[in-house]
Amino acid sequence: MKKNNKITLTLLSICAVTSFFLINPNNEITKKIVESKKSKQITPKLNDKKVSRAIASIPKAVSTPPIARKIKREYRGNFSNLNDITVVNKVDKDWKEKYQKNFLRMTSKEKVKDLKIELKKSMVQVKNNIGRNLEHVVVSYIKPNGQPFSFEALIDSETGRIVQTWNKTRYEFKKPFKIQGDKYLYKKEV
Amino acid sequence: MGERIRDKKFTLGIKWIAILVGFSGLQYGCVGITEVDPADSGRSAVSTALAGSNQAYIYPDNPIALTGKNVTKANFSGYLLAQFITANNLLETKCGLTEYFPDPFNNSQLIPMSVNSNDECLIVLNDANTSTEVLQSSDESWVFTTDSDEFYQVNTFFHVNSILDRYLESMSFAHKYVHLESNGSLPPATKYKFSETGSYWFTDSGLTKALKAYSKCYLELNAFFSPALDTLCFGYDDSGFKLVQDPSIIYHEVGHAIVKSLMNQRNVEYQVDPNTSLPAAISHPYQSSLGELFYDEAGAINEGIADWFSYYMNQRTKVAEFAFTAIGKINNTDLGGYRPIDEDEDIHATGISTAQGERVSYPKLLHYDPANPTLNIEDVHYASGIVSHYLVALTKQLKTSCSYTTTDTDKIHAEATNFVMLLLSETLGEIGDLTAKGSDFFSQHATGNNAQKNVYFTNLNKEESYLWTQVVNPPNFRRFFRIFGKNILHHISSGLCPQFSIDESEQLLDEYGLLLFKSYEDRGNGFNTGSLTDEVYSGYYASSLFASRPLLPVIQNSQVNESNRRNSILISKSFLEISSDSVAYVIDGQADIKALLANLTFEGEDVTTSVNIAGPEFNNNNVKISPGEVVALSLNLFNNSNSAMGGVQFLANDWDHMKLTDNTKLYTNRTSNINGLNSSDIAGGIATHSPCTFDNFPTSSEGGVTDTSTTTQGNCSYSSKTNTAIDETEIVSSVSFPKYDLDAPQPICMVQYNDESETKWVSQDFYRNYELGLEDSDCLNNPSMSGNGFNGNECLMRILPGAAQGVLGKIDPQSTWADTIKGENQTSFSFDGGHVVLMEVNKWIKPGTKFNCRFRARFSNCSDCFDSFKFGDAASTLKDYSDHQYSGNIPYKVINLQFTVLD
Repeated sequence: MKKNNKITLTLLSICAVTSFFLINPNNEITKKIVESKKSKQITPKLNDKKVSRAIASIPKAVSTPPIARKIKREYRGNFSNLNDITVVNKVDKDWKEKYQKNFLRMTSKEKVKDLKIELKKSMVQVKNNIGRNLEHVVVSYIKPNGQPFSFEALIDSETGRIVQTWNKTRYEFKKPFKIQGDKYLYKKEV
Repeated sequence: MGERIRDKKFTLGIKWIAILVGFSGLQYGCVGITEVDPADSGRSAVSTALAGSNQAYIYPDNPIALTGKNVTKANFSGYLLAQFITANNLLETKCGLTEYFPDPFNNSQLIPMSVNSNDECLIVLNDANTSTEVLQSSDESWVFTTDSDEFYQVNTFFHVNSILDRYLESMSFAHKYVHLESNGSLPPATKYKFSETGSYWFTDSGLTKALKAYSKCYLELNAFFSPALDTLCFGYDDSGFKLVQDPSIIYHEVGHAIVKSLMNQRNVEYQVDPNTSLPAAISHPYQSSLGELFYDEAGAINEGIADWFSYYMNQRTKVAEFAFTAIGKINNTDLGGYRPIDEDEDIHATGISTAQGERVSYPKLLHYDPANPTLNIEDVHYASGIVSHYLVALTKQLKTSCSYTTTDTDKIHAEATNFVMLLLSETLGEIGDLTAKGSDFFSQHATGNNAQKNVYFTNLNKEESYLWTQVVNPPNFRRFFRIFGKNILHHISSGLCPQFSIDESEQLLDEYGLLLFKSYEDRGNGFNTGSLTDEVYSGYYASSLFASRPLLPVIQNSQVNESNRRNSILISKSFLEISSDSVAYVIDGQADIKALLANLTFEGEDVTTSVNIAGPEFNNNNVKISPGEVVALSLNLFNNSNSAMGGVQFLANDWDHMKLTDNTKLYTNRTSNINGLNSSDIAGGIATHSPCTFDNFPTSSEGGVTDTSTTTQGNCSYSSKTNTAIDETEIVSSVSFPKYDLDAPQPICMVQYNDESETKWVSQDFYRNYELGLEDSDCLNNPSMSGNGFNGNECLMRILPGAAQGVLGKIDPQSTWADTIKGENQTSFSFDGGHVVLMEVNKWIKPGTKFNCRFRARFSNCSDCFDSFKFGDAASTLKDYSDHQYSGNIPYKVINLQFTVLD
């Protein structure tokens, strides 16, 4: 009897996984489209309902589809064979906290609101067959002056340090922080 | 999707006809046939107004343009037109363009193909709140109560979608011309196969990303474009004013989005993905921006182009007249009523006109605010006037010079603006190219020719391209208009419009003071990092992306006709000096530095300091450089010439100015390497560097080294070809032993070392080792922060990477930048984060230690910062510096800032 249960469970799992693939032939693309529409709160389409029913009927232990939610670490750069690559840094599971800690340290007492560090992609950047684990993130927040701001960044997966930032918000009317100039004039040493 | 794409041209035509009818109606004071009865304008979506038509009532222009009155409140009653919005039931759309290919069976035929986005390319929402839903149509009608939030969402959608449609038409034209109809004398920068990359619009590895526009953003009287989130945010005021009530503002902001798209069109490559072994579109990790956070010329160019996009859409030479008028009233400030983009506009100061010698010219009018001409303000929105006025003048000249198959002025406007869009696509595509190829003709992926793997024609190479295009050689007025001029030469004067001669082009550029270059660089500035040789386009003669369309580049660079240079003044870099006694501004006030660090961090810059080694808590506000401080430095540069200098930039990033004392000893000075050498895991030695002598400093007796061979790697006379810093490829038993490249760029500061017999300038690493005995962990940016990138040559003084350049917009003749900003009244002046570089000082430095930091400076109207050509030289030698030369000293004036660390 127990053996039969196991077989049933296994068959059910296979059916669920197969139906998931049939409904979502290209799950990566589907996932991105769904993500891009998150804010729209569109009425679920027929296919969406089918997915939820199929998954809901699977016993809890195997309810998560085997398609890994874990973000795949992509290799990027000039190389010909993945086996030739040596990765020179580790992935610290706390990389995001390390980055956030440094960010907040540098902003000092200035209060930031709604700080979000959204992972876009985990990658191994390769140059001359040397790989480095990096995290591609979008950082967004409300500045102390109330203005939303965002940028993209590559973060070292081990140290949490910034490798590069880009795509910073472009405001039309901007009042940058100013420092009075004359009092800081430095004379040549004699 | 298919239906939308299929109907696109038809509906676009209807839209334009309707808009033009609307404008005609206004012009002649008549009521257009589609004009709405004001009594009907307050319909709600549940009514049957325009049901089944997918239309809405839209305002074709801002209230001032519509009414002809200087109103500050929007009342569109009587001016609304019924217009098609979208057949989708949500306020969003996919998009696409027509891409042409040669008919393989008939070379004289082109085959059109619709390239459609795989997801929405535009979504309009009321605001950025996560619970905000996309608006839905009702009974296939988009009519909502006039002045309601929904009404403005629909109107925002209409105007954003209109400019997107128009842009995609222009891109289709540009792509067809440069790839299939031009004479092939220039390798096109416009992406060849948008069908593979989707990069005619925002994309992440081939997947379309939507531009989200928020018509009522939670912003007070402001608007922004976020390139990270791909959002447009239009603010409002409680008085009822909304920025979207002025469509020119919408066109301007979408213009920034289009600039981003054009800059990054080449940054997606269709190639075999090594992760899957399948062909895929793969994005470069970074994206290019036209302009950084603070004042720079790239930013001014971006703003100027964005203003031109308003003219592109509405043919008017006033931008933001309703927005400026309304904001001026709300804030009780004089914004002048509008921003002009033509010298004939009334707002201009006396002496500004389209007459010869009276244009808005560079660099004289960089700080010119037409609304307040007596003010002297460094701001991208004022400097942008030179760009917007030039682009409008060029468009007008193309309208009158070129021959067209129609006399319809609107169609001529569309064709002439297509020409300009082609120029922008080619110019921005090359400038923003992070693949560093410059054209698909040199892409190993596009051509299938692996021999081209290491060939680069712009922005140095794939690894350093971001640094080159954003910091080391960014698009200033000289670089932008040199490439723009090259494209006029090849695609307009030698192609689409021979009536607009290259002499006329040069004369127009010169009227704006923009003829800042001597040659067009038709041969490119390329380099092969594999063979370490310079490359020219003509070396790729007859290369082809497809049959019958070979590349036929010119053999020699085209020279500017010097007789056309009347207003554009070039100045030698020797006239840029450090002020004789007051050499710099040293900002070390604790509160100021804390605020600056916070401000730059909030702007996304990496100014992370070295914990426990330096920080603002050490700052003492004595206007000296003290141990442990973080200081902001601005060089007090003096213009010793009789003409204004524009776009002065001083760089503090690492560069190739130190020489290894022994080319067999390459390992960086760190404990792990020393242990590896001691255990014989690795062979060689720890590297030491000596400063190269430039401009006779330091002399050999002071520790400087010289050599002459420009072909021997490692020499001072040989600048790094790749800008590679740390080589991590030495791996033994899974442990990396980092070493320097022979010509590794090095931090800018060296230190004076005194022993019993001599005083010399030495590297920081030498000094920390032999004088201070500092461990790696006591260094700035120590291995716990920098990993394998640890460099002992920044152990004591370190430039923070997010603040490694300063930009000074203009320096008047016989003046410093500070005096230029102060103006005749000599009022006070202030710095922002763009005027300074940030440096941290190791707390272990002994007071009395003397440093010399070697900055590199240049400016845009410099006669010898971009080439070494002198009049009288053979024309065959006429050439700009190659990209790799910007890793050394030659293009710059080296400025030595010396100081003693004091408590």
